[in-house]
Amino acid sequence: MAHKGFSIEYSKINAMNTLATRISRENIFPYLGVIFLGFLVYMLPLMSPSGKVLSLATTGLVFAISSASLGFLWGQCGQLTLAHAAIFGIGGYAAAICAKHFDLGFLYALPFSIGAGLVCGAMVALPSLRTRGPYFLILTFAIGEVISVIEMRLESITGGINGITTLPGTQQFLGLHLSQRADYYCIVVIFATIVFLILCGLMRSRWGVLLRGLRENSDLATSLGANVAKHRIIVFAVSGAIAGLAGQLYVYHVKFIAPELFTSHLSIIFLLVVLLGGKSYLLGPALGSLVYVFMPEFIGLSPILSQIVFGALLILMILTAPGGLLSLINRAIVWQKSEIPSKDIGIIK
Amino acid sequence: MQQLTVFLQFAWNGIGIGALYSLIAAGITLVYGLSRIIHFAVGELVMLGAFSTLSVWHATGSFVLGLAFTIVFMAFIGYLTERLVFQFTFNEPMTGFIVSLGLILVLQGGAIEIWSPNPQYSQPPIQGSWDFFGVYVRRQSLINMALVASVLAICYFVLKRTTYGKALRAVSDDSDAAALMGIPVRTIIMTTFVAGATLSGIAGWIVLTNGSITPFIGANYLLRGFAVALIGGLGNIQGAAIAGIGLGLVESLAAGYVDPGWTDAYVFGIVILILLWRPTGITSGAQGVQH
Repeated sequence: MAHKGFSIEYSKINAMNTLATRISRENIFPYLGVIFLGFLVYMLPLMSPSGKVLSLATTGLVFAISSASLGFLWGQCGQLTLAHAAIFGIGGYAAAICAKHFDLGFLYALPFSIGAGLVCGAMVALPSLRTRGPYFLILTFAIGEVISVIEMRLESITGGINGITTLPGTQQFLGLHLSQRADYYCIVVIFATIVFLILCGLMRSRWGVLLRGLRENSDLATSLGANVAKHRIIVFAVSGAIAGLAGQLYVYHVKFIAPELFTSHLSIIFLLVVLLGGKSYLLGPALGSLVYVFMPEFIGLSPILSQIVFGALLILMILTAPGGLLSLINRAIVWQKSEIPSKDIGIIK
Repeated sequence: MQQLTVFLQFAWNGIGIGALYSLIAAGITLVYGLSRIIHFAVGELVMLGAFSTLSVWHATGSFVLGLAFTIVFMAFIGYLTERLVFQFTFNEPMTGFIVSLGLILVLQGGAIEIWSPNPQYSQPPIQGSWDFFGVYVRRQSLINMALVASVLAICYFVLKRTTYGKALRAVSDDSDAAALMGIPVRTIIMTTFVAGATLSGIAGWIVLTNGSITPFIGANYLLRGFAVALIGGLGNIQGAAIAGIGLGLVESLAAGYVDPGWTDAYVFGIVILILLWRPTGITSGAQGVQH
């Protein structure tokens, strides 16, 4: 009996030991960096920006969260999907339906939007176990279209083509007013910081290493005992959950939801945004979406002309620097140190 | 009897749409078969073909001239995209796919700038219809089908019976070995981009004769074209023809007998199921992705 107690005690100490060594061994600077960046972005309302800038910044951050989850899927696991906008939309619809039919506010809708994204993300993973390459891409494209038809046709629940209008009213979250632009911006920044901290942790964990192993050679990973199906479903579910959260943040930002907001066009934009920033970097998708959202403002062109410019710039960038904007910085650092350029160095890894 | 007539009417309409999908899928199949690039801008190429025909029709009032111009114009567009963009991505087909996504933004934006985002339409070149025992057959749809059939027949003949087609199949099988045999691989791949764009352009001509067009129709034809190409088996023109007509039939019958608002869900649901059931296409001898 005593012996048993001792062994429990011993394993506890052992676990605490490993945790302590892990924390001390773990480099906490990336996490501090994310928190610092989040803090900087949180300070934007102090500069008393115009309402338009604030609104664009909120959209940019929501897109950053959503495309970061796509970037995690693509950069770490090597899986490309065109159903991401649909899952983003499902999160938004979950929040809007909670508000309209069940009278559930922002906080209580969160588990539903995240859960809906999680389930749908896991479902998109299932075909990836059987198909590859163009077949999987077209499958996810078709799944996205089917979801948007369902959103369009279930009029009694989703409001059909007219969509649902969601006004936050006098709701508060952490003492911040949802209806006020600056306050809502701060809420989105808080969520974005949390999401990026989680993604940072996942990327740097042993599980992240395993995912990159699956990406590089799934057959080899299988032969070493990794359960490809399990890990792929989990990573799709995590990515879907984050996209669902972003969907809810988006709906409470634009205060309106309709199927035409989440077409395949948005999925393509998400993919391009991830690639623009750099898919193998944590902050790449965030940089890409800020560039995408703010670029029409900066160059002062009409939306259509800026779409053309964005497309052309993107083609140019992919042909010259396929690693994305952040890879250019990396390349510059490597060049300055005049080392042999290595292909896959993350700024935050 | 009445029911049979209605069924035949839906079936005929379905074959009509299906022929269009087959044509788009043939272009996709050619480009993918040789370059391994998933060319997603193919829907925008269809849209460009439709709008270029519309412009010529506005200027001259002739659809024959429109077809001729569209063929030349789209061949040029295909040449241009390959020379300016795609030729740099042959080593990394995934990059080619991303580039084609960028191309969608450019082509769609350009079309909105030139032709405005509003729906536009033309008079059908040949009006009227025949009545076969209660089944109405638009004369234009017969012309369109004859056009598709002859274009696909030409493709088939070129692929199977000419030296160029032999070279093309050799490159598709093993481009390194083909290059060692003295086949100009790069040139052959370039010609498939030209041919693919031309086929999409002809499809655009048919789209215009069927009804109104907007710069946003691309996504619609993109998904259906790819679904047909994949179900038919990539690199397989007969497969594309059969799968295209099958998809058209499903679409038309679903719209006719069930709620038309759910058509897309049925069509894409069936596409999902077929691709899950036979991940490399339903025709025998179809080639899937090896890597």
